[in-house]
Amino acid sequence: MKEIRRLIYVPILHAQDDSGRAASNVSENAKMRKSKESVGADRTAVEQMWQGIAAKITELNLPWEKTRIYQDGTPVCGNETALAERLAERGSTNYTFLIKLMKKGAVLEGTEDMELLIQEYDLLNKLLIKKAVSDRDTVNAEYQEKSRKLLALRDQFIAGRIAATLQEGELPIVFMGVMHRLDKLLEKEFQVSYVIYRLPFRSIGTIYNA
Amino acid sequence: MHFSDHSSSGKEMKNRKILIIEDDPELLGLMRHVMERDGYLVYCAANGPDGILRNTQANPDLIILDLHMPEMDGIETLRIIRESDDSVLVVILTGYASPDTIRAAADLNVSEYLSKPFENQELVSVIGSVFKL
Repeated sequence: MKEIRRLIYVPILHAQDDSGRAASNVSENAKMRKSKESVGADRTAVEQMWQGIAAKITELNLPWEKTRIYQDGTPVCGNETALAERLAERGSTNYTFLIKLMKKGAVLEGTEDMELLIQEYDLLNKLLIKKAVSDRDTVNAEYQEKSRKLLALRDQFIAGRIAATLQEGELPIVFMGVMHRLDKLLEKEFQVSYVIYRLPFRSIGTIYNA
Repeated sequence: MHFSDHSSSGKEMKNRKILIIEDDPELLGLMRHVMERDGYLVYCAANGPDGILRNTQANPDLIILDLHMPEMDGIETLRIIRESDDSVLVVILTGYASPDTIRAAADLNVSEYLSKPFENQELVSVIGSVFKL
C-alpha cells in the first residue's frame, strides 16, 4: 500500500516587492498615485501577514534539514538561491522569510517554467497598461480568462516539479498565491496541511497573485 | 480570543458602524466589547439570515463575518449580501480554512481574512487597516 506523504501548503498574497515583476514601470506609477498612508498600511499588512505565517510555521517544529521549499514565481533556472537573496535584499518580506528557512537547512527548489512566467508577466503588463486607457471591467474579464488558462498550465508544471524533485524522507512546504489551484492537484498525492493566518486582500489586492 | 489592556485610540472611528455575524455567543460578546471600546457602533447577528436582515436595516460600514455557521455558512451569507450591497467592507474570521473558501471569499470582494484564534489586538489592527485604506 502506497504511503501518503505529508505536505505543508501556505496560501499567500504577493506584494509587488516579492515579485520583481516586469510590470514595474506601470505599477510604479500606480504606487505614486497612492497616498503615503495607504502605501504604509499595505507594507504593514504584508509584514503582519508574514509575521503570522512565521509564527504558525515555527509552532510546527519542522525538520528543516529535510524540508524542500516550493515558492510560487521562482523560475527553474539554476540560480534560485541567488534570486531569493536578491529579492530579499530588495525588501521582499516573502523571500526574507525563505532565506531564514534556508539558513536552518531547508532547500529552495525552482517551481516555474520560465516561458509560462514570462507569458504571465506580459499579460499582467498589458492589463496594467490597458487599464489606464480602457473600460476596466472588460479589460479585467479578458485578463482573468487568459490568466486562468495560464495558471492551470503553471500549476501542472509546479506539481510536476514537486513530484520530480522531492526526495525520499523529505517534507515539502509550498508557498503559493491564493488564486492558484495547485492544492487540487496535490491533494491527490499528499496529505495536505494548510497554514493560514491573515490575508489582507484590500491592502494588497489579487491582481499580482496569479 | 484573548484580551489585553492595550487598545488603539478609537476617536477617528466614531460613528463607524460594524455588524458582527457570529454564531458563538461568547466570541460575539467579546468582539462586541472590543469594538465598542474602540468607539465603533456595533450591531450583532447570531446567524446568516439574521445577518442579512441586520445588514439591510443598519447599513454598516463593515461586516465581521464568521465562516462556519450552521444553517447558512459565511460564504453563502455574503453571496446574498453582495446581491444588493457591493460596497460594504467585509472581514472574514474562521477557525478552519481551505484554499477553496479563500478563493470564494476573494471572489466576493472580501477585505481581510483572519484565522481564529486571534488576539483582540490583531482584530483591532485588521479593522483599523481596512478602514484606513
